[in-house]
Amino acid sequence: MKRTIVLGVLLGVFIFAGVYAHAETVIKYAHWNALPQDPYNYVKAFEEKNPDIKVEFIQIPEAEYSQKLRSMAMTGTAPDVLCLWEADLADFVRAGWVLSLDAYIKESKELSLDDFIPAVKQLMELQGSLYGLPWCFATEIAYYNKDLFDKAGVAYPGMDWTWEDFENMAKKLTVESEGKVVQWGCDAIGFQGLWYSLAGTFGDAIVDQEGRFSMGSGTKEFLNRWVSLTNAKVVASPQVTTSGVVSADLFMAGRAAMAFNGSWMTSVYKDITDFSWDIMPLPKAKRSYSTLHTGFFAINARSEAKDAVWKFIEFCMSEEGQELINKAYSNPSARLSVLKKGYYKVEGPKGPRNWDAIERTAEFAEWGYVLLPPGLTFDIVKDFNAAVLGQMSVDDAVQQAIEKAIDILGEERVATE
Amino acid sequence: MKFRVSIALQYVLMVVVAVVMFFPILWIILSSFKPMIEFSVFPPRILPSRLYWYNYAEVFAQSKLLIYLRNTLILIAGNTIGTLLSSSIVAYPLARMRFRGREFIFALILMTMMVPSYVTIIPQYILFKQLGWLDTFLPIIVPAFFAYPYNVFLFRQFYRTIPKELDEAARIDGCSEWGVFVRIIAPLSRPIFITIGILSSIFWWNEFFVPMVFINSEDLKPLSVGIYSFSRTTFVVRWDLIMAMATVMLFPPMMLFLLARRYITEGIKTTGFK
Amino acid sequence: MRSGRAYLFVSPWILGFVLFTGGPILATVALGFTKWDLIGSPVWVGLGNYARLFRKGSEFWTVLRFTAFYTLFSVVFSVGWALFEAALLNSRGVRGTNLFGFFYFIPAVVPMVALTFAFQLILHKELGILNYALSLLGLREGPNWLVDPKVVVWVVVVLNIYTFYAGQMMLIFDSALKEVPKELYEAAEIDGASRIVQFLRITLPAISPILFFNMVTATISSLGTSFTLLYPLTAGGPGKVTQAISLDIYHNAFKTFRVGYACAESVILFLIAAGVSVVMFATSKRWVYYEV
Repeated sequence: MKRTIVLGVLLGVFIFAGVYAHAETVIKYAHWNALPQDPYNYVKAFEEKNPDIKVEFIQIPEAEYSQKLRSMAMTGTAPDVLCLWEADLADFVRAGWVLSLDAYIKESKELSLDDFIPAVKQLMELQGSLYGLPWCFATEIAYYNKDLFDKAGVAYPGMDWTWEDFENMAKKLTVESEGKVVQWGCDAIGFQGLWYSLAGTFGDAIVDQEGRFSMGSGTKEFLNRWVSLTNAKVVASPQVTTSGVVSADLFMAGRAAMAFNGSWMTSVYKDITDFSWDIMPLPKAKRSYSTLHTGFFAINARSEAKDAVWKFIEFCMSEEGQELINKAYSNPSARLSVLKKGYYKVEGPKGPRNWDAIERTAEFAEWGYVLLPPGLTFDIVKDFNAAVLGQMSVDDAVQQAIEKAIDILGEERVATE
Repeated sequence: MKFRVSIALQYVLMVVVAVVMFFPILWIILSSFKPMIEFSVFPPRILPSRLYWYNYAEVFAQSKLLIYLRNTLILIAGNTIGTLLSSSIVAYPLARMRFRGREFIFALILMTMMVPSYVTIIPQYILFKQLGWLDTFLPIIVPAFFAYPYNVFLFRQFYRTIPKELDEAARIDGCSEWGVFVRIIAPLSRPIFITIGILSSIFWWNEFFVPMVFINSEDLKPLSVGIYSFSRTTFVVRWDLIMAMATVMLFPPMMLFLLARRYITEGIKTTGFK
Repeated sequence: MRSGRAYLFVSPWILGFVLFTGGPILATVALGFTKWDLIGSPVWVGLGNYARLFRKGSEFWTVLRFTAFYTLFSVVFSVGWALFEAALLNSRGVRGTNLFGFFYFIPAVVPMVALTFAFQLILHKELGILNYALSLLGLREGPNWLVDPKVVVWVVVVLNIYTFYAGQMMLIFDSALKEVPKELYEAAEIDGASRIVQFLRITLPAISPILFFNMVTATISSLGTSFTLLYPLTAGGPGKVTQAISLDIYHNAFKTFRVGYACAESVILFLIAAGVSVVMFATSKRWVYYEV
């Protein structure tokens, strides 16, 4: 009995120890990434500069991010500093969960609206007022293995390469041995966003100017081509993707000459030592297109320490904060003045070198599918995969995508051709 | 001679089954020493090129592993104490007393055993939100104090194996029902307490879905959710860190099983199914 | 008087049932008639959600079909495998069963999340160790284990042998087999019955209540833990091929915020569970003593 009491008391102490203490201002901050290690820990850098403010960090896994933040906001337990995804920002604005930053930015000496990449301003215009500042950005690009190109005697892709170039290169770079493919022209799609970005290069708006879901003939054409490349074993067969990311990477293993992926993969591939590689914008089919990714720092309308929150956001957006963030995640800054400094260019021994590819992509890339609910876009990708596997026809997959969009978004937010 | 062959065949089968069962675990442990780049190589390798301890250093430095561990222990302690107390009490009259509606209650308990948590998770979420319990341990621990049907069932089965003469004698001596339970049934049921205690501990060491829904704060996450959220950085799955963390997670339950195996089998054996 | 006392003992469960099971089920039923995105307030839509669920060509049919398939074959594989392991450990004349028992049980205590991560890599079509091993054995092109729709459904049911409940069942079978009187086998041996005949004629009947009990456990667990296995492993893909109803509820409630729709699905799941439990209950005389 005694032991039970002791255990019970210990348990109580444990629980309360976590809850109490702290006399200074405490703000909570949520993000889907773990905080980077020193010397890039921007939260620690902020705390050192502002000893009266303590930042309590909450990491929410990226697969659950959207839903967790939403449920926290609903219950009034959302963190003070939010880093919201594009699709969520609009809903949070609608629900009145985040503050307008207009007054703050007007008074800020550090930040100016004119200093951001064009897409940021577009989004602000769509929402009428400034509600969030992009913590950095990423985009989707092509990767290629220079050694394999050299071996096959194929010229490297150029900045203006087209889809026809891509198909021809991929076919030449596919190597069979004893009836089995040992080297693919291109890896399977490794990140779900590429389905949308590549469909976008075939002319579909993906999300049109009124913010409506818009996929149709371009998507069909892309899927048909992708299916025949996969059936011809020029492109590797699809892999399992949970939360949109594949398990193993044929490009990294040196078994696929090309791959389409997020620009953040430079931070993984930089450790490659077996072969030289580089990056390119996505090939142009009907037009140049790619998707932008970011998260927006926003102030929780219910926060009791709004000024401390703004201080934190202002620090993260300052050149000092941006430098730490850019270096830690190899993601470029959405502030043009900081972008030019190139802090995000973390190179490995074998690549990448062609950083222009990212800056060029940023010029034409759009928010696109990231403005749609992640639950919807993830579900549609599962159908695209099923189409590539021959489980359903391409037409059915696209038709079903449109129906799902109507189901979730409502008819008024789906454009019909 | 025929006898020898069949024995040899049995050993072969036993080894094959052991390999099938243990290989994934061995693979996790070995992979925990690989740098990220070695997860995508061809041909695939089982052994890391060299022992790469950096993964462990990074896991310990970056993640709140010790805090996750503390939280897991709190969940295990709370749930195990809760379910042992409540389930053992609830099971008592079902095995030892005659009262109106007993069959009905027991039937209801058997039936709720079947209801998956997914059916009730949405309203529970709303309920705990009203109580202000979200992002605390309460939604995970408190229900344990209201008896889990499966454990009630196991307790009841065990109580049935205790000779009835013992409590009848005690009742004649003027012992109350509570007295019979505390003085006679509970002490004699040590093995089933230990068994359920261990099974519950292992269960809560692994449980993923419920804490995933109710816990948000970094400081309150148990290991299972911690490993899941720690593993992702900007759309990249950090296999190296996952495997190191998984390896750290492997050992405590393995140790517990090794140390307490006798109790587990003992408890299960004496649970006295039909 | 004694009844009152008895109910006092049972009261924690009754209270818990009302608060955490019965009440929520009623709430689920009510929410199933509404449309709600967690932000505004619920809007009454009557049977609209059910009409959507069961309309022609609805994906829900695929989900139901897979759920039935998954539950049935998870039970078959996990119970069969657990019995097979226990039988191996109890075969006469072999040593080292303690050591083997350790290896057989140990996956059960490994967090399933960690195992699913490992299986994604082990079962990878091009870079996975399994297909590489098969290629060394002469299989030119290994299957795409987790992606090929015809293969993946079997992979996910087979992986149930690594779950916690499978390990637990193995231990239960193990102790049950040790209880079977040795004399029965000796007598059969004299009659010249083969091992297999002995197993069918002696072992199975002797452990049938345990077998039944384990099948109940396995049914509960495979329905109840499908999320932990499937969500990190396949997330229900490709298409909806491995989308068990648990994943679909989670997807609709917490990912696309169609709470009413998800609640309607939960009601269907509850009806299925209730149906199964009625069957279990009707047969429970075979695995539970009711008399006190």
